[in-house]
Amino acid sequence: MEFDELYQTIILDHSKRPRNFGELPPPAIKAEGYNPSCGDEITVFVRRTVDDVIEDIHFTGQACAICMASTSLMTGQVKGKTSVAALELQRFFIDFLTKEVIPPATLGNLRALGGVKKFPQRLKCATLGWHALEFALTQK
Amino acid sequence: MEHHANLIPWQMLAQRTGAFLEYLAVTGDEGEIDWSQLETRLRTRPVKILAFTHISNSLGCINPVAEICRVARAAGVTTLVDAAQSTGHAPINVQELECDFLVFSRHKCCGPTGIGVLYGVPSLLEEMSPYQFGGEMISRVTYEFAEWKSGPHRFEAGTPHIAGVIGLATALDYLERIGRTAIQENDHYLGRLAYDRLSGLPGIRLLGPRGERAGLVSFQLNTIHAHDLVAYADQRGIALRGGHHCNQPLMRKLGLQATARASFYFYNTEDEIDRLTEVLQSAVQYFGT
Repeated sequence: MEFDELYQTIILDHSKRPRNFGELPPPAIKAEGYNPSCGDEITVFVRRTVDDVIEDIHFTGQACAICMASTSLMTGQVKGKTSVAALELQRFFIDFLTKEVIPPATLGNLRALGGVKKFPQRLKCATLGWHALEFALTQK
Repeated sequence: MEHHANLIPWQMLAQRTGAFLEYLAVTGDEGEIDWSQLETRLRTRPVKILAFTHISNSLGCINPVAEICRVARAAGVTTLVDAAQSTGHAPINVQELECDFLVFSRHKCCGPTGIGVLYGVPSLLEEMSPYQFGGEMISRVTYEFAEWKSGPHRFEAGTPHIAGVIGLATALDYLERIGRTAIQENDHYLGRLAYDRLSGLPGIRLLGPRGERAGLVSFQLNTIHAHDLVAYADQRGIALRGGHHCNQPLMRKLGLQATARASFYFYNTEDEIDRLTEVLQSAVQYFGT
């Protein structure tokens, strides 16, 4: 059933027990994502090294299972990557959800969110945390 | 408990004119408003206009319109009733309610989108200036000046939304044939029934009055996010609405981000309430707690 494809076990698990959940103290960069249609809010905290590697990333917020899981999985995937690589992964991820593309292996467990393709109204849920990450990484 | 549609226009008006916008507070999950303070507030503050909803779209409260209008009139305050949620669901008689203005949108009563109604008592409409200009609304035009038609016509500049008006009238006739009182009885019955059935679910937080209520139930179920619940119910043939229901300040006040809402109309049945209850029960299992 398409619905179970959307709410896979890994999604439900990450939504109930989000990883890297909580704040990071300054000087970690902080950026917010807000979905006005449902009121969901995600705040992403990123700490980078001088070489622009994401050393640590956390998030806080209240959101639906898809949004929580996507953001939780995202934190696991981008930790240890450079900002450039993280933003590239974001692009791959959004392409994967919105275009007919073969998902690159680099997406890893993010592919569990493929069910969103059949529920386009949930696209914003799946990408909210990613947009917050983008704000964080591109802040001057 | 106002819908953003009966909130933001007043915010904008206040900004433009320097007027103050004040509220009567909702004090809890049931949507309680202490109407007894209304008279004092209207008499001790320089209130010009009182705008309020007939039925709350997110709580299901039914406000005592005629009584509120009576208190306001005695205090010399103009009233505007937001009947967007009630016109399709209850008999409405502006003469009995004795409101100064009443508004509703047609798409909430089986009609087409993009059209609504503003009712105003003729004496107030005569005092008001047009806010849009064009054809149809004028009586006499020279190179130097223009005069307006009287009554509602001066507010209908340009070619009217003719198709919409015909659709509006047809929808109204349709509702009259079914009978507004019958619709109201069915709505209220299902609203009460749904509230009673759902109140038996462990971990549910129901909003709105326990007693007499409009045909809707709005709730938060355990920690399940409204949009997950809506998607789950949708797959099982139950259409719920999830979100802040254009009621962000109220949601924030109640410490909620969003609720799921089931709303009923003349085509809904008791069986569907049973089905809704079952679906919500199984959702708790699906999403866990």
